[in-house]
Amino acid sequence: MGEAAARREESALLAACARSFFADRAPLRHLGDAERDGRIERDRWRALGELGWLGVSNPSEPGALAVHAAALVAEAGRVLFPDPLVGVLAVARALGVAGDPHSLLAEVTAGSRIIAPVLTGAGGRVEVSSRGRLSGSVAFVESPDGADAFVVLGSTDESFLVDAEDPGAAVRPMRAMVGGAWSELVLTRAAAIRIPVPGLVETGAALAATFAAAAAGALLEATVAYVAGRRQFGRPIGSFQAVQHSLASSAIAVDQSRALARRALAAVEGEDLPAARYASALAFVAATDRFVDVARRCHQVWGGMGFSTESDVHHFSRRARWMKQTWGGRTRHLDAVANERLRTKLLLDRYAEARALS
Amino acid sequence: MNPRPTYDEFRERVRAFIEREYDPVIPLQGPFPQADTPEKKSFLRKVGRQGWLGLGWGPEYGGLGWGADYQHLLQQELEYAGLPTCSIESAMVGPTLARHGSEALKERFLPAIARGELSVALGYSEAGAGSDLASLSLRARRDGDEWVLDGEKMWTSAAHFADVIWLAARTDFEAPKHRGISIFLVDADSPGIAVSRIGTMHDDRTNIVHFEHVRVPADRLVGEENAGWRYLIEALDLERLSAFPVGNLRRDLDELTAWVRENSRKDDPALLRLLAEATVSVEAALSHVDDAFDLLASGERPARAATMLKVAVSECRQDLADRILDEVGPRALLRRDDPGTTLAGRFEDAWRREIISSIAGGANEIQRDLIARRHLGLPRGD
Repeated sequence: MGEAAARREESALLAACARSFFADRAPLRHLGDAERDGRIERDRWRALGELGWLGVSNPSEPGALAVHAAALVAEAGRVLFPDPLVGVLAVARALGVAGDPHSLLAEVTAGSRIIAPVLTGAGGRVEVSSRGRLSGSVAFVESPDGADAFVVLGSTDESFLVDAEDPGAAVRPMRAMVGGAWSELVLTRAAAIRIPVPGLVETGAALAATFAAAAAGALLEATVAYVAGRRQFGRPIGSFQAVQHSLASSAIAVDQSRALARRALAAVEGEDLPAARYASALAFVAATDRFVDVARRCHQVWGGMGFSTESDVHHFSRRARWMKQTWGGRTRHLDAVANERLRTKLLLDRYAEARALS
Repeated sequence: MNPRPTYDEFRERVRAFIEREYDPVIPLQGPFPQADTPEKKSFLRKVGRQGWLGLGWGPEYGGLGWGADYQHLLQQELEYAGLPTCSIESAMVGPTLARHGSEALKERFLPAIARGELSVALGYSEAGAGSDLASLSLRARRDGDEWVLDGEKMWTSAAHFADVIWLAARTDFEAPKHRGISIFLVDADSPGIAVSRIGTMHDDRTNIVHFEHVRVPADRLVGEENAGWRYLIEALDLERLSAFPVGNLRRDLDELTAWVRENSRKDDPALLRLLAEATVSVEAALSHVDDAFDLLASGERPARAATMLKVAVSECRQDLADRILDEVGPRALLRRDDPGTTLAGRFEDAWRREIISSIAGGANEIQRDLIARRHLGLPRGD
């Protein structure tokens, strides 16, 4: 009990510091500007490094992911932090698990080098030549315009490091539902070194689920406050049953997302890779689906105010819709869920065997 | 002394017990998770001999005292296997009686429940008191050292086989409605009780129970007179954690998984997608169990998680049956006992059975009202 309580306290402390940091340096009201600007704010990123927060996913710290990274990413989610925190934390952890063979971690965790993950699949294809050069293009890449390097995951789960300065690497900013540093990475015989990043997708999916759950939770809180104040027909609209039921359904969705994200982070920290794949894929689909559902329901309740850019609701709904296509997208994770399910020995199987023997 | 095992150890013991004692006749015997058939009765006595039907109270009353969390785990496992759980007796009535009943009542009824030898029917709802349960009007009038009951209960599903009825009656017609209710333990064979059958779309029965001048000894009042609403709410909170189809939902998913796994089906992209989506829905609905257990482990009442679990699990099981019936072909609409049915007719059965889950045990509208007001702090409408 003592250890769990100590962890909760550490987590709460980190969360409080992070909340303060983001309120000061990345408040929601500046999100519109960040979207238009489309670059990673380097000073702020280095500050994260100085605080030691880019190393919170360090695999040698037991519970690091489920406790510290969870707390930090949740606070980032609450303000829809635009910089690639989830991606970099996932890359950092994967490099750590692999033993950091190319000595990249020090710069990554210091915040002086940003290495962004790039997943092929629905977003694009990349081919490896016999000389180890990469060609192809991948869209929906989180902030490669600000990144110094990319970890490209091919379709056969090979992984490569490509330098942003490589002459064969070009970044085309995209105009998309979510503004900011989202781009298409175009590779033309770019030099690449093989780099192992075990568990990158599982870690990223679990952290993305954590981000989505927290963002949905923050939107719900703001919506509860809004409906308590907004009056129509002589009473707060939050006193109407239809509104209450909608918010109650959203609260259920948020609790589910949080619980599944927690479970996913714990599984990623465990030794069982199939369990990590299953739990992280499950959490990703569930939390991103629910984030969109919550956002749509909240829009209905915010009325015209939520549709206008005077409120922040539109930031949440667009980001929610966007997130479903990240980390390889919904279909990839659904396939992983089905595959792991089909491979699992069921309790039913055990009982059937017992009856067969008796 | 029977030291409390870890959750994993307990689950394993229960599963091993199920392997030994499973009776294949029982899952075919209809939906009551109580002792309404000789086979179920015999099985429940065996469970009782393990000490597992009294997990919610201590050894002084025949229980093991391990807690509501263990009772819930037991129920999940038994329900998964299609076996009776005595959830009403062990998870709802028993713990409430343990907290509020007199010594005499506790000594008389708790050991019997723990042995699997007592069936209890819940006498709550009336024709005019469903979601608005506090408006119940079956009256209990004090007469010497007895109470006299007159009125009617409805949806008293176990009344045709139960030994006792856990009855909510109005003992004060002057007080505000929530403050005039008392709970009694009434022998089901008391003179003046008449049970009439109501059929349901799930092929089982429920009942209307008429009470005409039914005399109940005063010592059958549970706890304080007019304090019944508090006990009732407490019991419903517990019901939400334990009586909703968590085990059945897990079994649904495993049955679907096993079926898709068979030969040609696991290459069918539509069925793989169905399996994946079903898995996400089920795991999300069941995630409230994790939250509830975290709260129970730290000694708190899992009110929020239990309320959410009730809504999520009932609606998930309904939606899942509906989607599966859409996707696996029309033979899935054949009943369980038709040899041509798909998935052993499980989802034909579930679709009809689960209609009531979003209504009974506190309609989901009421649960959402509770979530909004109690947990989100939203204001009342009136």
